[in-house]
Amino acid sequence: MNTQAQLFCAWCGVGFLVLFSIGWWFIAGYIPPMSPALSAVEVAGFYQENTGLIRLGMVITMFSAALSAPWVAAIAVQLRRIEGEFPALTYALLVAGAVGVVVLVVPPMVWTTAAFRPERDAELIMLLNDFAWLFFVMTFSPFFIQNLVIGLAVFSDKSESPIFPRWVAYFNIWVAILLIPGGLITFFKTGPFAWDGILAFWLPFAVFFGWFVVMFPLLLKAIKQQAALARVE
Amino acid sequence: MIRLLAKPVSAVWLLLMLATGLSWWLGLDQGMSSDQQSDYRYISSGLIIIAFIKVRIVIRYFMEVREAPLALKLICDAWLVLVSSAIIYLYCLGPVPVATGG
Amino acid sequence: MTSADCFSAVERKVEIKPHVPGEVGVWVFILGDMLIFGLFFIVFVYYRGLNVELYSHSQATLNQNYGAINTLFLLASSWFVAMAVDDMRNKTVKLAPVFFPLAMLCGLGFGVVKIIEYREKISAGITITSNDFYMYYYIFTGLHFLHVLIGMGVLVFLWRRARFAATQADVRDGAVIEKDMVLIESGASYWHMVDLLWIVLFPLLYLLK
Repeated sequence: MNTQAQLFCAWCGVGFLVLFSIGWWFIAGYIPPMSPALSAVEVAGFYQENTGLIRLGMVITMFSAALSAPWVAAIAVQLRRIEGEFPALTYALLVAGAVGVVVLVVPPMVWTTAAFRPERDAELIMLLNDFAWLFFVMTFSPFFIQNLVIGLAVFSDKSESPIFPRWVAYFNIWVAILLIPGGLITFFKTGPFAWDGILAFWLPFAVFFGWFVVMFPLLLKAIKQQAALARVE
Repeated sequence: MIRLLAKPVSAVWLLLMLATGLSWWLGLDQGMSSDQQSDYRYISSGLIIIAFIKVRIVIRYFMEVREAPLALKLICDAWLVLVSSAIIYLYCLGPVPVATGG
Repeated sequence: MTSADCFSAVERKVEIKPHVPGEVGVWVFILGDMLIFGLFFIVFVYYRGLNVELYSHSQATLNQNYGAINTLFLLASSWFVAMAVDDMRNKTVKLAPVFFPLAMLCGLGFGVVKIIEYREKISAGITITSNDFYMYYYIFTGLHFLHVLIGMGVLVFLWRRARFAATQADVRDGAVIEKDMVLIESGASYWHMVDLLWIVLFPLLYLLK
């Protein structure tokens, strides 16, 4: 049994949440999100005033994003226990999780590109800013699949003592659906479906963070249960 | 069939259908003159309240929450109170509808 | 639901013991969905308050009759489902195999009216980008319609369970075993939620002045 390695991977999820919040939220100041309706000059102003903080914040954000990889791997190990010999959903989770890391890594790099030469033409800064925000908020698909396959796998758990309780399946599918409104941000500059809107940004992000908070203790419990079973055998 | 209609669920269902009819009628333009426009505020608040009473009946009788543990009852009622009061509060906060609006 | 095992389906009709209808997990989904739609309602009324005139003008082009008829369709459908669930607690299941299809027929009626309504709006040049009111109209009713479609699938499943239970009446003592009843109640609760959400959407979108 590799309980220690599994626990390390699970804790990486917490590391992701903490470092991501520090870098993206507290240092770089991307929360609350800037309005997509801002003019180019206003957007460029944000990068000119906060150049140093954005650069530092993005280094941390970029690093934190990769911590979601071990976290997804730890969940995948538990799904593998459910699925047994031909773990299609587990593989789907791993692939989706890997793409998820890319989705979390690229936007910080684009934001930091904008802060690299803040004296650049304001229109170009805005282009980079738009690109990073759209990439970041709109790309719900890998996370959608990630949560969906976890839900399906938990549903398929027919054992006497299931690895995750069944409500976790409903919860994950609910989370998957809630991430979808992010896909609408390409149509709106203002209102609830813009990238700073309550339904396209705040709701999916609150739910995504809440998902970590709910899954973490369940994951620890599953790992410890597995360890206890291994000791018995 | 008579036995079915005598059940409490059927009685509340009839009530729900009637309430829908009432909302339908209230929501139609009643040929109001412009000085009666302010009454819309009461009518609309009434429509929202009717809707949430209907929702509570659906939760209690159709979804059988009336037989559920207290926690689930409380969660459902909390949702009802929060959402309905927020809607009515925000609705009444909005400016008075103009005469041409209806 | 282990406590449910200690009394049979027949006894429950007499002895009403507090129990969560259906699976606990389904309620995570139902309450989660209600939370989100609650947020939708609040967001809609808030933005409506910022531009009442636009919302009133746009609302005037909606056909209230469609909304009302659809409310009646869903209510009727919910009644059929509630009666069918009740029937499935009997020793011999008789009505459920008929009532579930009738509930689906009402759901189908809802869908037909909804499609006629969408067609009318789109052929009149009104789309999701026309203005804010129509954005909410299409997104909220569209998401709700998605719930209806999923619900129709759920009803098909319930119908199959009901037909199976009806054929098993002679074999088993209580027609529907507890485990099946949990599934039936879960599906029915979901369908009632679809009804419940429309009950609020109807006055908000069609009637609020």
